[in-house]
Amino acid sequence: MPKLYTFLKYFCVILWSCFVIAPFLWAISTSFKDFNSVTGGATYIPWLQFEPTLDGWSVLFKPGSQGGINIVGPYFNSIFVTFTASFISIALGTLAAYALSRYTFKAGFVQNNDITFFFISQRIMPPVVLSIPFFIFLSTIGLLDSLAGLILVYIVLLMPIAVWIMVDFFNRVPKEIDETALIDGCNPFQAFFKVVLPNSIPGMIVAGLFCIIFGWIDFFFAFILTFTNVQLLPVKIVALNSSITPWWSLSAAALVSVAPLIIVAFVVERFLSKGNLSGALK
Amino acid sequence: MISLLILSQEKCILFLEEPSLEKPHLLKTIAGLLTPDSGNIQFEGKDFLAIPVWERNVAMVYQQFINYPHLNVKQNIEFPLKQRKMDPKFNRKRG
Repeated sequence: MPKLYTFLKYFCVILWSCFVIAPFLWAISTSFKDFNSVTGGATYIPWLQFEPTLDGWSVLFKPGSQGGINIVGPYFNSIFVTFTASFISIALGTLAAYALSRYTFKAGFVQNNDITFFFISQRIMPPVVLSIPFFIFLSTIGLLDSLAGLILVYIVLLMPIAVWIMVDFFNRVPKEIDETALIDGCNPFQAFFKVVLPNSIPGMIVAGLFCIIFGWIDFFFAFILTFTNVQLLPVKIVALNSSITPWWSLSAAALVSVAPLIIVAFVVERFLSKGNLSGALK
Repeated sequence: MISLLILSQEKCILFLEEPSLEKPHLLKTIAGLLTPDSGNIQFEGKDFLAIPVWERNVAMVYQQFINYPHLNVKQNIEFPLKQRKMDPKFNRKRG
């Protein structure tokens, strides 16, 4: 029976892994094809079933005058906007979450849980509802079609995620640790930065990952709020579409766009196991 | 449950009672973690409530053992000594 259980366990894991990895393998294979290879039938193995080419990849780096889309500038724009907005969102969201977790706010019937829900309710609204107010606001302050304007908008969109995740994480940190830090001579700021924050690193990593993912994949606000001066990667990739859908270039663009997220996930994975609070109270 | 309140080298008060809610509130109020609804605490002629928690010369040991998980044993012991800005040589000796 244990052997059957082990077999079933690994069978399910392998089956699910195939579902997850198969699209990436398909994209990698398609990115090295050309028009004839893509339309000639289902082929997957290079050199055996089709002749690989770099046409799909070269289009991403050629200028527009040569039939390409040159994603280098938008790629770095996306990295800058996403990581800057995520960092600021985590910084401000963590402070807000700590206050909501540790202090009691009350204004009439509005309490801590209501304030926390107010933060996350910003994500419930459809993006189209916010598009016009953001457009008018950025136009008024002269930040339309600019990186700074996009960063401001992304902070508004990403900070609720940071607050939502960190409030739950801070609630799991025993309050006795804060009290002990205060008695040991820390003022409230020192207690937060020296004691609570180091034990909340896994939560910040998770919140940071969510912020980076949601910021990176955003297309709608990047499309509405930018025109010519600034372009982000998702908007630039859309420019690949024409009368003939270039699946080979789109596959290459998809792989290029997902690469930073995979790298970030591998880098931060080791930090997720730190901050074990099981030994804080005995 | 035993609670020990040490006032000076000559005087200390020992509470010996069944576990209840009153003693944690009393000790936390003396430590400054809770603010009383009324009344005040006088110690050596000074209003104790006017002194913030981190400036009071108070140590409190919880019934359950509490440590800082992100620090090792030596750093846990040195932490309050460093916060009180005590002599590093003294800290090393005590640690």
